[in-house]
Amino acid sequence: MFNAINVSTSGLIAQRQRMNTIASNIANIGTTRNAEGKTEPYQRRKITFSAEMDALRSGQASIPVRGQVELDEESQPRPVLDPGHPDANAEGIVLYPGIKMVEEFTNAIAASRAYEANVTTMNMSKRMAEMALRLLG
Amino acid sequence: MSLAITPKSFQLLAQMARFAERRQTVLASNVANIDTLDYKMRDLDVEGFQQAMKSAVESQTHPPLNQPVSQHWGSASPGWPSLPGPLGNATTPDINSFFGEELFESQEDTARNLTFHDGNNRGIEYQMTELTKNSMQQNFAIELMSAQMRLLETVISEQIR
Repeated sequence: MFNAINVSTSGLIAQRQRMNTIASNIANIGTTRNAEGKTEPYQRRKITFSAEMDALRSGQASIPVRGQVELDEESQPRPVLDPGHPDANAEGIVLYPGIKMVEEFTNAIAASRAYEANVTTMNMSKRMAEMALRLLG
Repeated sequence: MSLAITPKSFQLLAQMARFAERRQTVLASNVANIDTLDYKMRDLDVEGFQQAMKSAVESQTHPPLNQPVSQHWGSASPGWPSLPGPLGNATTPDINSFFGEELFESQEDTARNLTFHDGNNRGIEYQMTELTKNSMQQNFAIELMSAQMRLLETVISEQIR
């Protein structure tokens, strides 16, 4: 029974990581410098989920999920003409991170719904465990 | 779970609760992996379990349930009908032998839903309804088990007095 709760916890952690990633992306939507203060647009982060399957145990019941945050190499910087900007290049173009607000918010909604689903599942498992304990009297 | 004083139906209910708890873990895994690439929803063999349940019950009843009622009255003891006894005589097979381990192993459930572009065949509505049904089934089994336990307690306490 506690396996089910552990699995739901892994889901909660993964979805929270996803939310953190989205929050970082939105917070850095206008970041044009890196940590050292050099001109470099923020690279969008993405999260990849993987199921922790044991290849040797085909019939396993508990399959936790694991989230892996990495740089999104596919997102290209967005060039904006702004010659007055301190980070503008010789042609007066500033490179902003290739982050799309709509996309991030859609993901945020999906993450929060998935989080809720995991909470609901965990509550059900908890009630079932309590139920089983009632047999003790 | 093979206490001589616990009725055989107790073992059936215990298997039912065990199955529900195992299935809860599988369904929880499905919800946790709702956004995982290439993950296929998994499930236990529910129909197989129901079938095992059926054969387990049928193995315990004499005469079998599908016989007409007229045959239920034994001819061995005239005057006093031998009713189809409660579950479990000493001669009937062990209940737990009907529930093999393969019933408790999860398998991919690909026929249930269409696969999305990310290779996942998520269907959150189905998963949540099954979770609810599953927890109700466990609830049912446990409630009946505690009712039987209460009955046993009553019998024991009356004996002492």
